[in-house]
This record gives sequence, structure tokens and C-alpha cells, in this order.
Amino acid sequence: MNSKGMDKLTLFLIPIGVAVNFIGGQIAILLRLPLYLDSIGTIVVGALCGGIPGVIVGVISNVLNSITSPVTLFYAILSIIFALSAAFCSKHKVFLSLPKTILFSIWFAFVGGGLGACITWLLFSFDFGTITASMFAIPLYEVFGIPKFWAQFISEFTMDLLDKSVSLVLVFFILKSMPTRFLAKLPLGEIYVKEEY
Amino acid sequence: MYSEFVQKFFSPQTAGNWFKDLNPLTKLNLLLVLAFTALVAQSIPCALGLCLFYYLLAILIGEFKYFSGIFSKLLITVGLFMVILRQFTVKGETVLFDLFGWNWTLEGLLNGLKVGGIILGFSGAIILFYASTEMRDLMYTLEQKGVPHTTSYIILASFQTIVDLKASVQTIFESQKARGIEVEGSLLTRAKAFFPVISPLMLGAIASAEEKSIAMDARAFSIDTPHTFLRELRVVPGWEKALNLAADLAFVAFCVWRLLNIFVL
Repeated sequence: MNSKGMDKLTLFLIPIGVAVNFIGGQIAILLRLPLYLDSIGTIVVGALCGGIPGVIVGVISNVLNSITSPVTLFYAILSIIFALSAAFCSKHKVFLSLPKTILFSIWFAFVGGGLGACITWLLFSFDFGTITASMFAIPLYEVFGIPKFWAQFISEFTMDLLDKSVSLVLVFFILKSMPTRFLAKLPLGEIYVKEEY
Repeated sequence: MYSEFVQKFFSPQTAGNWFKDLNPLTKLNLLLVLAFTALVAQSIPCALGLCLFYYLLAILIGEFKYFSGIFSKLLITVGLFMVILRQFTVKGETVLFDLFGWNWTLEGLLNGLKVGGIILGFSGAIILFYASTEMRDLMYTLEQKGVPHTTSYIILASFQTIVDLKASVQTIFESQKARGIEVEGSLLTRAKAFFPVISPLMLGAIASAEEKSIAMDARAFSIDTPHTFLRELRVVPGWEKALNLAADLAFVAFCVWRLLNIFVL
């Protein structure tokens, strides 16, 4: 990472993105919401500053999370894909339309839930792993007879779909409420500059 | 008194503990070797042995309270949970006991212990690394290896920003409640309350980034010249480098032995 290759404001936004990833989860707990909301910072920075700054936010968030839960290190790849996807969506003006934003939450849920389920599957010796997903996966496996992998996949994807839908709607409104004066200074900010300017 | 204070910056900063005073990259290398050994070994005795070793090391470096605080939570959320979970998912023949009509099998227990042990064996090493290493020392070492100073800034500023925003969250949360925003009730009501909390937080933080950018530039943050450091670490002795090499070679040998065991023997 070179400070010359990344503008100053982007550099100072990275720690904020990392902190927002943490705080999002904390607010979800305060409001007793059954959601993670821990990738808002990664997506916002990816959408405003591009893929690489978003990737840095995602990876640092995972590294800092590993202080209390080291297994999160294995899921860093998901954060990288979130950041790159956010930059792609931003460049293709997805975050300018609420229906498109909600539609793309399926992709983000596929990455977080689907790919996440594959990592869990490998990490936990080809069986169920995480607590929350297992609560849904076990009934799918026991009652409906769905194979273990697909039970894990379906439960993680469904949970992530709800989480990522809320996260992306939040990202949409955050981007919409950004002051133009600030947007003008960011690499992908001009996409979100309002018409009157 | 002042000269004593100034003098301490001329000598390397040490914690007075043999393990803590190892170079941060040496600690990272040694503990990663142990973490990945747990993953490669895939055995209950190895994982349990490693967990006991981590506890012992935590006591020796005076970080037992910090280590056991985090590791004990993992013991319950990962270790115990995995043992219970595998009773649902691993079908076994050897019934150990009957718990209100629920048969606990030996196969399920062994599988739970193995998977839980592997995860704990990996996690313990990472927790020990954070317990024994100050982040500023790690970043300083990385800078000496050629990592740009901006990386150090990002990592260290992230910690501070988390603390700052945590304080702001509580204030914003209480303020919005006082303004009449519903934070109790149905799931939808509570979800809607998320917006008025996160938006001012995010926009306020972004405004502060702008101010910080100007302030840091005024303090020559962008100047591309060699930096000086107030805190110096001790020079890495030869034996420490040899220890690193020996640990890496032993790990490679162990991986080869495991592969031979799986595919050839």
C-alpha cells in the first residue's frame, strides 16, 4: 500500500470503515436485532473509494475480530469479495437505485452465506459449525432430510439474505445523505453527487 | 528525574519477560506454527496438549487473566457446543449414556472433541499472540521490514476510532431515544431505529476524517523521508533467528509426515 497511490481522505476513511463494521454489530445488539450488520463499513468504503481501500477495511476488520474470535481469520476472503463487489456495484451505479440495491443483496448474501457455508464446511471437518446457522440447519437435516451441506448452505444463505438486505439498504441511504462537498473529494464520489450541482 | 526519563528511550523497550521480549515477528511465526500444527495434526491428544501448553505459557508470561477470559469463552461456545452438536449430527453405535431419552454416543463425542480441539488449538495460539504483543511493536517491526508507515497509521487509528465511535454510539442512541425514536417493540420498529443511529454516526465520523486529514498534513504526515521512532525494540539475536528456522523446518517435516501417513502408509 502506497500513500501516493491512495488519496489522503481515502486513507483516513479506512479506520472509520473498520470502526463502523464493529459499531454496526454493537448497535444491532443494542436494538436486539438478529443480524450481524458487520460489513457496512467495508461496503461503504468500497463504494466510495474503490475495491482496494474496501479490501483493506475488510481484512483489517477480520484481523481485529480475530483478537476475540480467531476463526474469523478464515472468513477474510468474504470481506475481500464484499469490497470488490461494492466497488463493482458502485461503478455500475447500482447504489443509486433502491430496487437494484435490494436485488444485489442476493449476490452479497450468496457470498456471505453460500461461500461462508463452504468455509464453515471445510473448517469444521465437513459438518455443521457455527451456532446460529446450526439452529436452523439441524431441523432441515433432521426433519426434512436435506443433506448436511445443503442444510448448512440454505440456513446460512437465508440468514445472510436478511442481514445483507438491511446492510445494503443502510448503505444506500448513507450514500444518499453524504454531503456533495465530501463526495467530490473521493475516487468514486462523483457517482453520488446530486443533480443540482 | 528528567534525565532518567529521557535515558529510558535510548535503550530498547523491554517487558522483562523472555517470551514477551521476543521480536513480534518471531512470536507470530512460532505461534502460527503451533496454530497450524493443530489444524494439520487433526488429533485429540495434540489439540488438548496444545491447549494445556497455551494455558501454561499464559501463566508464565503473566497474561493468564487476559488469555483465560477469551479462551474460556471459546471453550464453551466452540468446544462444548461442538461436543453437543456432534451428538445430533454424528450417528454412532456405541451408546455411552442416556440423557432423558437422548443417546450420547462415543463416535459423536470423539468427533466433537476432535473438531472442537482443532479449532481451540488454532485459536489459542492467536489469542496468545495478541496477549503477548503490543500492536505498536508489531507495526514498528513491520515498518522496519519495509511496510509503509501509512499501514501502521491505519491499524493503530482503527483501534482508536473503534473506542471513539463506541462512545458516540451510546450518546447518539440516548439522544435519539429522547427525541422520540422507538427503540423497543417489534422487529421492524427496532430495525427502523437503526437508521437514525448509524447515519449521524457515519456522517460525523466522515466529517472528522476530513479534519484529521488536514491536521495530519499540517504535521508532515505525507512527507516521504525516513522516520524516527521514540520506541526502539531490541536487536534480534542469532539464536532467535535459528529458533524461527528450526520451528519452520519442524513444521514442514511434520506436514510431510502427515501427508505420507494419509496417502502412502
